[in-house]
Amino acid sequence: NLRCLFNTTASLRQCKLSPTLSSLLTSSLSTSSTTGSMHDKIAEMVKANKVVVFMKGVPEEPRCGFSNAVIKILEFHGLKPDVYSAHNVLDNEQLRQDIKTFSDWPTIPQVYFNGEFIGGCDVLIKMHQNGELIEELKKIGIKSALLAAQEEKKE
Amino acid sequence: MSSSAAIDEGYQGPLASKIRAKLSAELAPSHLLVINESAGHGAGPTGESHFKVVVVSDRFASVARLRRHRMVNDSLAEELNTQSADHKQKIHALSIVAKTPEEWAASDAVPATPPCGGGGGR
Repeated sequence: NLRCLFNTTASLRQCKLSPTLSSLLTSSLSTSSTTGSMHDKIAEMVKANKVVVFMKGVPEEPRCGFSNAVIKILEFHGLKPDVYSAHNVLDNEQLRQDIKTFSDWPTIPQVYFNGEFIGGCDVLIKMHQNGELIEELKKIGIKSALLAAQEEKKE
Repeated sequence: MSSSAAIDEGYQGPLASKIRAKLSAELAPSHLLVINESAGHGAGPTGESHFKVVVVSDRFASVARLRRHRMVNDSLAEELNTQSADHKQKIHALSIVAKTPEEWAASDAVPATPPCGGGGGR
């Protein structure tokens, strides 16, 4: 039933639709009835997966160094594109503007853990460097690959 | 990473001045670097689109990192608003280092910004 595919963008990604098709489907869901703001939709998007990233480009091909850094860090900790949701703001101008007002954060990329705004590239880099990211991932039930590697060394 | 002593802030035009003025007024920093990182983004030697700010202020004491970054963003809200007609005179990418004086004394290393690859931060 196609209707259930339209529920969340996360489910669109998990269905492995091509980026173009998934963004077309997202755009058609984008505008709310009155103001045209996507805030309601974004509120759903950020809860649709444990880790949700708003970025430029796609994880396989980021279109910006800051977005690329975020994806690389997540991958370094073992997160693959099928366990986090990534939304390409370059495909949806409404999303690109509304995510900034929704998060009250002026730049892209933006990272959410369990529906909570974590920060952008600077914050993620800092968290990665001082070990905080391993802890934050643990809190949302994700075991960082770095932790697994550390434990292996001890054995 | 670079030690703060070695950092070249690059071309300081009108936007850099505004950034400096706003951050000084809002956050009363004991140390402030406004580093123009716009080189290579197509606007030539006087481009002002990509910045890294290093803000050292005791107003960050007991403030979580994300909140510190929000304080910097809020101070520069107007300069970050690229929805306005003069969007070309606005900040398109902003890297933030926000430390207390004690943290800065312990380490004044400024991390490198990820290479751009086009697309900017907005």
